[in-house]
Amino acid sequence: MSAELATLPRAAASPAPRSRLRGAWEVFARDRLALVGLAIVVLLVLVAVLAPWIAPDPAQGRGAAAVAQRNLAPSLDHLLGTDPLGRDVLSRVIFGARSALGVALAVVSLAIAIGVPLGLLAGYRGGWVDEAIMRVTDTFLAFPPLLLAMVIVSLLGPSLRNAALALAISWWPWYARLVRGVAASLRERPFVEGARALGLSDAAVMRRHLLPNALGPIVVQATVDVGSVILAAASLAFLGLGAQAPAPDWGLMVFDGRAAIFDHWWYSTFAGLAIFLAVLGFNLVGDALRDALDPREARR
Amino acid sequence: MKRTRRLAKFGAATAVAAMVAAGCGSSGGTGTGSGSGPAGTSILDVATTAAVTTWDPVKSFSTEVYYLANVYEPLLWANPPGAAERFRPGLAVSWRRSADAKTWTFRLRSGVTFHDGSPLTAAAVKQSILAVKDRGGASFLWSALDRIETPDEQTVVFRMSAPTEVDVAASSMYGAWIVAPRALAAAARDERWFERGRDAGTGPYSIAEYTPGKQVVLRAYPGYWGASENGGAFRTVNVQIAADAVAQQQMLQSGQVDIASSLPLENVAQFEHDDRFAVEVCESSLSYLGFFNTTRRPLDDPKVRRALALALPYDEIIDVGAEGFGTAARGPVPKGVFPYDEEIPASAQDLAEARRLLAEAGHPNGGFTLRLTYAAENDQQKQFAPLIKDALAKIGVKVTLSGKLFNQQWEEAKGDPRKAQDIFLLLYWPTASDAGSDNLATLFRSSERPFFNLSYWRSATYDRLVDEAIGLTATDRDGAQRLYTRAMRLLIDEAPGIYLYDVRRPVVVAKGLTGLECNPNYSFNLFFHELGTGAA
Amino acid sequence: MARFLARRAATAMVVLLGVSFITFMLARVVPADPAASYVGQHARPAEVEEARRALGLDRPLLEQYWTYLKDVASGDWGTSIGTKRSVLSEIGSRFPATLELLLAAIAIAAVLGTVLGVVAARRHGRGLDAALRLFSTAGISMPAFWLGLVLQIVFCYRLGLLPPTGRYASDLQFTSPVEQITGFVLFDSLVTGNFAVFGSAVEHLLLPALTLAAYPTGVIARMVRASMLEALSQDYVRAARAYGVRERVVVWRIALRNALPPATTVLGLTLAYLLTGAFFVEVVFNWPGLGQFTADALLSSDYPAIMGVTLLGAIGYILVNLAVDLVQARLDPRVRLS
Repeated sequence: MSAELATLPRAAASPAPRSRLRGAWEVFARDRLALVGLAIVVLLVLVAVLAPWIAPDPAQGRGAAAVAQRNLAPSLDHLLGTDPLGRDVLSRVIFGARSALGVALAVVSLAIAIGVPLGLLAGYRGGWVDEAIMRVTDTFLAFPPLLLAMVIVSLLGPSLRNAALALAISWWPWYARLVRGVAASLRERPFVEGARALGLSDAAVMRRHLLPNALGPIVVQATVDVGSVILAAASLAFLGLGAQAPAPDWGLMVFDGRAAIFDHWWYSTFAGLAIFLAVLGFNLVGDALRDALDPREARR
Repeated sequence: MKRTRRLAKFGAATAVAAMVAAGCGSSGGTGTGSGSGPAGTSILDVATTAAVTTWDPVKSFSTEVYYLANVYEPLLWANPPGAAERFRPGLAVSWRRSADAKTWTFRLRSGVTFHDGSPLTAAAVKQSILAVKDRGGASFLWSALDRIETPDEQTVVFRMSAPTEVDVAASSMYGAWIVAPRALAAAARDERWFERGRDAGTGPYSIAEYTPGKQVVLRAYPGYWGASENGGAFRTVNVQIAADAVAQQQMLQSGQVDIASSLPLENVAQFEHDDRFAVEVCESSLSYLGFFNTTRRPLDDPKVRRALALALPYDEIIDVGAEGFGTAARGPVPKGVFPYDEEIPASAQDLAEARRLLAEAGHPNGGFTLRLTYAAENDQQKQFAPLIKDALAKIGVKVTLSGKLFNQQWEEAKGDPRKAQDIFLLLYWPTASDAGSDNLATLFRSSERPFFNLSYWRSATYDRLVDEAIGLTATDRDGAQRLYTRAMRLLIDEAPGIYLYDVRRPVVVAKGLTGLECNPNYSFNLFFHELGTGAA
Repeated sequence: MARFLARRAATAMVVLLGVSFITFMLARVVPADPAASYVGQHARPAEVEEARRALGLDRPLLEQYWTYLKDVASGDWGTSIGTKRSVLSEIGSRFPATLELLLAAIAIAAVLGTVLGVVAARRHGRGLDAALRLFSTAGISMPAFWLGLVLQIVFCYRLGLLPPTGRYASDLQFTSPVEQITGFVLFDSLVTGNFAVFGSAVEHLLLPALTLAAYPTGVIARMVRASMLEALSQDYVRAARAYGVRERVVVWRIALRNALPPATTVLGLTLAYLLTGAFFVEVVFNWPGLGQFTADALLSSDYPAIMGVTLLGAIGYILVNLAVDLVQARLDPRVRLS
C-alpha cells in the first residue's frame, strides 16, 4: 500500500523515465542541430578518454617539449602545427579535452552536491529555512558571473584545482534555486503529504519523492552547465587564473598563444576553436533535452 | 621598497624595447602623425609596462624609475661597461675621492633649477640624500654615510664611516635623485604629497598628466639646463601604460605608439624582417637563476645539486625561453656587471657527468621528486620551466611544476624552508648600477630570515669572502675581484643555485630615430630627451 | 508601486550586505597579510605594525567589517594598493569606458538579436531557422577572448581595416583634445563637434563591441524566437491574418510587441553577465576600462580594489534586475508589481 502510494502519484506528476527517454530520442531524431550537438559531445568524450591512444604524440600532449620543431605551421606532419616549445598542437588540444571535461564534471558534481540538498530543504521546509537559504543564494547570485570565482582564485593562488573549487562555490546557487522551485511546487501535493502521514522521515520524503521529480531539470541544467563551466574555466585560465604551464589546457593555450597571433596564429586559434565547439555541443544537447522534458521551461 | 612588484612587472614584460622613428610608425588610417612637426614641438608616443607605485623619488624602488629618470637627475650617471670612464657628470660636474675612499667631494653644476624654479644648491643635495637614508626604498645605499658637509653653495662633501664607492651610489637608479627642498619638506609633512603626480626634479621633463594604470604625459621643462646642448626634439612624451606585451606590439604595429618598451620576444624576428625597423641587442643587468632548497634531502648534498645543475639544457633554455636573447651565465653576476668574470665557467649541460655524480651520491637512477615553483606571470619562466622538467626526467628525477603569482611564490619561499619549494626560479637584477656584489650578497649570503637567499644555504667561507670583498671594493677593486671570483667558484662547486642565463634586450629601432644608448646600468630606462629624428 | 519598491530595496540591502560580507571575509582570511602588502616588501616590521594599526587590522574581524561598512556607506571605498588612490575615484575614472562598451554591445545585440529571432520564427522548422539557431547558439558558446583574437587577426592584421587596440588614436588627445563632459568619448566628442575623435572612437569601438555583443545577440535571438513562436500561434495573430492585415505588420508590429517583454528580462540579466564579459574583451583590445583595472588588481592581490569592483558589480546587478522588473511591468500589464 505504501509502495503504491509512493510510486503512483510520482508517475502522475511527471513522465516516467522511460517515456522521458523516448521523448529525448524523438527530439534528437527530429532536430538536426541536436544531433550535431550530440555528435560533438560524444566525440569530445571519446577524445578525452582515448587521448593517450589517439594523440599523435602523447608525451608532447602532456607537456614534453620538442625544441627542434618549434612554431611549425600546420602540415601533414602536424595537422594543427606546433607551439613555441615544439609540441604538436593537435596532441595538446586532444589532451586539453581531458582537462576541460575533468574540470567541468568536477565543478558540476560539486555544485550539485551542495546546491541540490539545500534546494530540497528550502523548498520542502519553507518558512524561515527557505527564506534564509534563498537569501544566501541570492547573495551568491548577485556577484557578476565569474567575478566571485576570479576573486577566490586570485586569493587562493592560481591553479586548476583552485579554479574548479572557485567555480563550484559560485555555481551551486543555480541548483539550489532550481531544485527549490520543484520541491516547493510539490510540497503540498497529496502524495507528499501522504508519505509524510505514513511516517516517512523528512530526509526520506525529500530523497524518494522530491528528488526524482527534480532529476529532469537537474540533468538539463547540468548538461548546459558542463559547457558553461568549460567556458568559465577557460576564461579564468585566459586571465592567468587557472591551469598553469605545462598543463594541456585550452584556455591557457589561447592565453599563451596570444603573443603569437601575428606570426603563428594556429596555436591559440585551434585551442579556442576547441573551447567553442565543446561549449556549442553541450548547449545544443542541453536545448534538445530541455525541449524533450518541457518545451516551455523558462531559460536562465 | 617594492622589489616584488618590480620583479613581477618586469618579469612579465619580456624585455624588448622597440622604437619606431617618429612618423614612420604611423601606417594606415590610424596613424598618429607624431613627430612630423618641426623639432621642438612634436609628440613622442610610447608604450610601457612601467606602473607607478609611488611618485616620491625618495621612496621610489620600483618601476616608476622609467619616468623618474626623465624628471630627476642624479649627481653622476654611470657609463655603459667598456667605456673609458666609469661615470660621467650629472648634476655634479667634477668629483674626487680621498685615498681611503671615505671622503667624497662633488662640485655642482651651476645654473641648474628645479621645476619649481628654485636653484640647485649643496643644501638641496644634502637634504635629498639624507631623506633617502632616512626613509628611502634604497636607503641601504647610504648606510655607511656618516655626514654630509656643504662648505659652499656648489660643493658637497660626503663623509663615510667605511670605504665606500659613493660614485656607484650616486649614480644608482634608486635612492640617488636630487629633489627640490620645498618638495622634500612638503612630502615630510604629507606622505601623499607626490602621489597626485607632482614632481620637483631638475630633469628635462616634468609630469604634466597622470592617470594611474593608464597614462603619463611628460612635458619638456623649459628651464632645463641641458636644453641647448643636444636632443630635446620631443616636447611632449605621451606614455601609455600597457602591462600586456601583446597589447604593446599591437599599439606599435598599428602606429598608435612610436616606441614600445616591452614586446613579446618571439615577435622580434618579425621586426627584423621589416625594413622600417632595425634590431639592436643590448646587454642588461638582468639574469635568470634558480635556487635549490639546501635544507632538505636530497638537495642538502652538494653532489646531488651539482648533478642537477649539470643536467639542465642551458642552450635550449636560452633558445626557447629567451628566444635567443640571452647569454650563458657565468655564475649569478650578469655579463658586464662588476664582478663578472670570464674565468668562471659558463653553465653547460653534461648529462654523463650528471649521472656519474648522482650515482656517487647514492641515487644511481634518480628516483626522487622535486617541486619547482615559477612566477606564473613571467612569460620566459613559463616557457622554459617545462624544459627543466624534461631534462631532469632524463636522469630519473621527477619534477612537478607549480606556477604561482610571484608574490604568492615568494611568500611561501620566505616561510619555513622545510615546507618550502625544492627549486625556485627567479629573475633578478642588482639595485645600484655596476654593483653585481648585490647579486652575490643578496642571493647567496646567509641570513637569519630568508629574503632573496632562497636556497637557505649557509656557508661561513662564502660569507667571509663576500664580506671581505665588499669592504675592499672601494679601495682595492682588483683585490675585491679576486675574492669575488673565489666566492663565485664556490657557488659553482657547491651549487646552491643554478645560473640559467643573462638577459639580452633586443631594441627595435626604426631607421631615422637617433639617440638611443644601450646602458645596462639603466636597463629599464629610455631617456626621451636624448632621442631625436635623424633628419632634424 | 511604492510598496513594491520598498520591499525590493529591503531585499537588495540584505543581498548587498551579504556580498560585502563575503568579499570582506575572503580578503581577510587569505594567507597574505594586507598590512604587509600595503607597506611593501622592504618595510621594517615596525612599519607593518604601524600600517596594521592605521588600517584597523588589529581590531576584531566583526568590528573591522562594521568600520568597512560605515566607510563604504560614506563614500570611502578604501585605497587601492596598486595605484595608491581612492578606489572609488579609480572606478569612477574607468567606468565610463566600460559602460560605453557595454551599451554599444547591448545596442548591437538588441537590434541584431531581435531581427535574427523574428526571422528564425518566421521560417520555423526550415533550413534558415536551423542555421539561425545554430548561429545564435554559437553566439552564446563563443569564448569572447578568443573571438576578439580572431577578429583582430582578420580585420587588423590580415586586412588592415581597423585598429586593434585603444579607445581612440592617442595623439588626438593633443591635436584635438576632447572636452570631458560625461566621460563617454563618443558622446562628448559628438556634442562638442570633435569629429576627428568621434570617427576614431567609432573605429576603435567597433571590434570590441561586436565581440562583446556575440553572447547577448545569441541570448536575445533565442528568446525572441521562442516568444515569437508562441505569439504567432495566438488567436489574435490568427485573427489579424484573417482580417487581411499585411504579414509584415502582423509579424513586426503585432506579434513582436507581445514577444518583447520576455526578451527584455533576458536583456537585463545579460547586462550583468556582460560586465564580466567586458573584462575579457578589454584585456584583448586593451580598452582602458574597469576590466584592465580589475585584472591587474586580481593578479597583484589588490584587495581594496577587488572589493570595490565586486561591490560595484553587485550593485549594478541589483539595479538592473529592478529596472527589468519595472520595464516589464510597463510592457506587460499582466505582470503585477506585488
